[in-house]
Amino acid sequence: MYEIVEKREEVPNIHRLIIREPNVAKKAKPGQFVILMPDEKGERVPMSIVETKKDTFTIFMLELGITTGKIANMHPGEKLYAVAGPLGQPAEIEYYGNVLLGGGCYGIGAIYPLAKALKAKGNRIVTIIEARSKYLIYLEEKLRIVSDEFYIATSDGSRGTNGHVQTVLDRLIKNGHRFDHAKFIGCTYMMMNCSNITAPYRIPTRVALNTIMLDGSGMCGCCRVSVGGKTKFACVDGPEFDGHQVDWAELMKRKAAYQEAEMISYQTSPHICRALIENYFGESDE
Amino acid sequence: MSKKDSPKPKGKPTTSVKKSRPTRPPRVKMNEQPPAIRVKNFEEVPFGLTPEQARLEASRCLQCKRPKCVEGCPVQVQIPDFIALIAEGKFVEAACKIKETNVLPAVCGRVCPQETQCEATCILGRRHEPVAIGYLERFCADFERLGGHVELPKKAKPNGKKVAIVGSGPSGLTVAGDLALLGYQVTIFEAFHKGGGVLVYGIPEFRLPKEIVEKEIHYLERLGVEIKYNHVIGKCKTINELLTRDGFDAVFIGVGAGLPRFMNIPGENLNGVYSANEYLTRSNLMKAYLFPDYNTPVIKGSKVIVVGGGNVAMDCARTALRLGANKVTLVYRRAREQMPARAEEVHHAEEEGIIFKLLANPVEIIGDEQGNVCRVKCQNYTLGEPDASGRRRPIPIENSFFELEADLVIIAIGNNANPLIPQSTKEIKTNKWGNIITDPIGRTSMKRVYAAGDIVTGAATVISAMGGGRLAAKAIHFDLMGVSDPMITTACQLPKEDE
Amino acid sequence: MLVIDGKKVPFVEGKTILEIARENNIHIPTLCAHERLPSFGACRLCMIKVHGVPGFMNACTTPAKDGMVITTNNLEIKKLRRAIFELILSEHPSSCMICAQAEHCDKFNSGIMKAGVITGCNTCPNKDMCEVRAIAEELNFKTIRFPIFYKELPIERNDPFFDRDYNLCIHCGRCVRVCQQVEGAHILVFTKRGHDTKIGTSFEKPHIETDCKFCGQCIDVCPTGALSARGQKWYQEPDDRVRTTCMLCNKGCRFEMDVKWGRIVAVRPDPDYKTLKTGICVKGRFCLPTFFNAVDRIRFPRFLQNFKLYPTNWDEIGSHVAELLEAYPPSKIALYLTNFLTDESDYVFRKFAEMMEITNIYTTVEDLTQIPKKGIKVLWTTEGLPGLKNFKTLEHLIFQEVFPSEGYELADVVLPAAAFTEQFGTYYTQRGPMPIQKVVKAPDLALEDWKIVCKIAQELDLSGLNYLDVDEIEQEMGRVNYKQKVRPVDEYYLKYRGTPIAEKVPDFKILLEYRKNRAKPW
Repeated sequence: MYEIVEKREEVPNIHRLIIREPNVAKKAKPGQFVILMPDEKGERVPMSIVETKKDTFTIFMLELGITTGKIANMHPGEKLYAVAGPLGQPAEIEYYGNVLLGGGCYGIGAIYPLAKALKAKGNRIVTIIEARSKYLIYLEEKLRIVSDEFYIATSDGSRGTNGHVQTVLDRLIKNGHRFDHAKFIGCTYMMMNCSNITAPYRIPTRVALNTIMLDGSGMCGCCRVSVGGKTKFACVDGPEFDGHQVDWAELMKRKAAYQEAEMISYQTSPHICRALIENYFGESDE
Repeated sequence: MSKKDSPKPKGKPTTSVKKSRPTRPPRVKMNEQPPAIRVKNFEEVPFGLTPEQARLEASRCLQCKRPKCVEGCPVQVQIPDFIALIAEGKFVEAACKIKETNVLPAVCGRVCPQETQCEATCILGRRHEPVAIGYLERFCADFERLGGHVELPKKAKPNGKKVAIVGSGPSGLTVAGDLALLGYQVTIFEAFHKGGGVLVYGIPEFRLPKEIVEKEIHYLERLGVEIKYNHVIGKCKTINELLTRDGFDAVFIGVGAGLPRFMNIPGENLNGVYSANEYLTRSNLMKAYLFPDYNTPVIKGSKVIVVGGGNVAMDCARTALRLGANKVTLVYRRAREQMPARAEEVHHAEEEGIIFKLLANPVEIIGDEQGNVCRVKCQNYTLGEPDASGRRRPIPIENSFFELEADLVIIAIGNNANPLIPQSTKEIKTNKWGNIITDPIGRTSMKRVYAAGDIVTGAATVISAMGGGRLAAKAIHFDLMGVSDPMITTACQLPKEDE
Repeated sequence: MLVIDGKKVPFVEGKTILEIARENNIHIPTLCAHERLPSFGACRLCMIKVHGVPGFMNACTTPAKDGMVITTNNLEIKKLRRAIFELILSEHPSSCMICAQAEHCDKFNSGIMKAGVITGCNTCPNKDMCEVRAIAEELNFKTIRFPIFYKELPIERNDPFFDRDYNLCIHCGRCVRVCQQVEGAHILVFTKRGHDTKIGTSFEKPHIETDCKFCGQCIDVCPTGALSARGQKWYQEPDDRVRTTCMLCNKGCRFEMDVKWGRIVAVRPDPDYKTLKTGICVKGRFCLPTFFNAVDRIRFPRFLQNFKLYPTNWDEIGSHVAELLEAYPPSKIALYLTNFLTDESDYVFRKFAEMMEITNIYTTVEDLTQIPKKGIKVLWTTEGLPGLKNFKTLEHLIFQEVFPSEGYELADVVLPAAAFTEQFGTYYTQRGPMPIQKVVKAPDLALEDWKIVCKIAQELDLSGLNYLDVDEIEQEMGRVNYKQKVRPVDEYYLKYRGTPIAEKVPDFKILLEYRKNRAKPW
């Protein structure tokens, strides 16, 4: 179990991994996540489950920091040290009517299962995805198939609209589009901006928060967020919350808590050496 | 180099052996790291007894005919018997004797509150100091482990019954050990990537080296117990699925009290405010004290405030010192007498320089612009009439506020029951605090489902969880195999099965 | 006399216009020019107008002539400069520089995102030092009119110590010039031509397969984040910079160390010393920070009890060692002095031996053969030594080291020593005596070797070994005419005290393993 069946870097920093773990594959519902550990020394990192198939599941992992860096350096056939899940509450999937989906970064992948499930409920899906530049867009074909309308925004204007999800969203709303429900997944900054746009129009907005987590089962409170003035645990109460109720400023500060510490991690970088050793000596040095 | 020749370190006396005393030698004192040194490392504080010290201490035991100490022990370790074996120098045999009733002697020898249990009832304690039962238990277990010859006790023939155990903490391990010996096929489901529950994520390395827990778990594996890690029961499988689809004949729930309590005061979500669970999990389970070799970081803090007065609060405070804090203040709303922490822990904490701010409680945590903690506003308290717990009720004194500087605040005011399992299994009844309701021997409201430990009792000790686990194991054996145990039948008056 | 932008400046023979302008605080934007390197004229950002000369000229390559009248900035130049820079930006992952949200995003996402591949400034370790970014700000860029082009070159991670992402490369050629003209190594060259121009090794081999010495000079001069030191790139601005002399061999190289969070985070050649020209070796440049920051440093004095080495304080261990030394006649005690002691520590050790009448002072592994001959019972070693367990006469081992190296498991007393970056002192090298500076604090209870001796001497009631600092020792050494000689530790010595550097620095291990058949590993 925990075997990496397939691994591909879709675009720089976004890795698509298929992992064998029947317990997760059989139970996972759209919006749930898993916690992974590359090795005994790694952190426990949460990842949205994107697709499941028999006894495997797919994730899109953003390579950011030492632990995801270690996973990015693993090969198909190797085993992760730990895979725990599925965790969190499944996303709200109902018939709403016109549904807006916004995704950026790893969220382009994470929004896909929601799009599929919402489409199956008969919703009309408008999808907007954003990236820094055109070479960072992935999963476009699959998302187009499940979307009734599909938009791209890039920060350098190299593809689609020059700007972000909120740029397109703002334009659509001003041009008379009506949305009955919106879901956003991506970097915290983007989810905040988009929630701010939908708020005045009273569009019910759900965001999937990517807080720092430890156990993922409500035991530590590491992932706590303020939602509507109440403290919630993203791992057991979420990850999906009402975007208009989230205390975004607090969330962003909490996410930056370990910035400095993370930099020290890199001074001992055996995971990268591991790739090197394999390269030059055939086998990994356990 | 011949190790045996190594001279004893000068300075503090290594033992209190004094040949001139014709009568009973005084209670042994265990050597430990000097406080100024140990606050800088995570190594175990006491060194353990030497064989000579252990035999001498064992010779103090009166070998009472009707030993009171055994009554004081939640799992009824045959204390005089194992002490007699130590006195004879049969250390491994002594360890086996303990293991008949206690699967985790190396753990209990370190973390049990002996002073309120076995040692409290020691007859010798009436006139002199009680026998150091905890030290001796620890000595046997360490001797056996370090000697590398851990004998496996005799196992009953497989009886064809499968039991699932949820949680690999003290109660789960006890049930697993007992049932494996009785011939059951036992599978433990653990949510984390390492087994031991609170023994690995909660209790720090300097109090309980993790290598010991690993050895104990390895021992269970040798007994034939299977441990499935990373299984969050309630999420990846429900209790019902275990009983039906997976074909387990019984399920034991020993998931502990895993939902941290907060104070619900302003500023609790600032960076630098941890629940004790998070702080200890980062440091112990994820080994943040070995950062960056281990990748999980922890905020180290220089001025640390720990809120609470239990063993967990002491563990947090002492961990903070070891991670490099300059000043650690423990804020507790009652007085020292009401502190639930073990006397030894409080003593160790004080020796290490932890400041106790008693009869005070935080009312607000104040942060800076970056969202980091910088101060804590507290209120003074006084003690009123005793409450339901028998302890005097803390009462806030009006307008008596003061502020303490802090860059790290750890909230160690206890845990509630984790709702993951009751939520996913409605048949299991819980009380208003979310604890699972059981009969005196651990049967829940759902058939073939048993529970013990903190999920039933609320936060308590390792040994009480083990005691509960022992009863539950007997209950399972009774219900599944019809084997009655004198202790169970007399103590609990089991109702007859309806079928 | 020259006139630049209407300002009269003195003419200096043999200098370029750029050099003269800079000396007179006249700012001309450049990307390829570098004070340590010969002019190249690649980026063309420094274009200026020389009156009376048709067209525009590069300030960096044009020698100044007396009487020149120069304009560095007018509308026409500005327009051209912007166009040139826009072309550079269109081939550099520059989305963050022109993103409308950049300012707010920076505020909310403080710090650099440590991504695997750099896709914009907020994933770039060089963000705050980036010269491209500085110029983009100077020229106030908001959009790029040219099509954006990402080269999609694979990130080169197949070498120890550094990552190379040529997708960020702006072809300034600084790395090629420093490699060829400063190091004289000719490892880095321009490969291919025209639009496909790329910098790399000949035949695009990994550096480890070439004769690259891993001096790291190319990283130091790179204006972008294209070249980066893998383990050292994320710390941004250091808290402190301290210069000291390397003690890993007897060459006496000077370097400058970046310190952050009380740790050494990077090493560079001392900018004011000739090591800047010759460069420093891979051991100093890349191995040192990882080596001394390794987690298994000896931090506490320890003594053996119950089969385990337990930590204790200096008082207790001091009296313990004193008791041990007093229990044996001096003829049964031996000292092993490592070549990595500072001159002061070496002197104090020898003085101590003299006072204790210990004559068995060993400095090489061959000397150890005397242990059985003389029936030595106590060995006090200052470095990990091989084969100690074969000496059956030994009853006690006092192990004074930085790491638990060979022989540690036999020790019954362990004394934690400070590394050379954690103490003041002098080290006699090929360049004569060189000063050693304290860069960071020693971990926990680790002490300078001489201080350890003093502690123990105090317990033995030896007078005359009670120094306040190294200056006091140095003065005494001058008085008694103590002469240290150059230690037999050459550039290719692979240990520090008893610890192989490769053991703590996995990248270095790869380098040595891969090049084990070469006469010299670098």
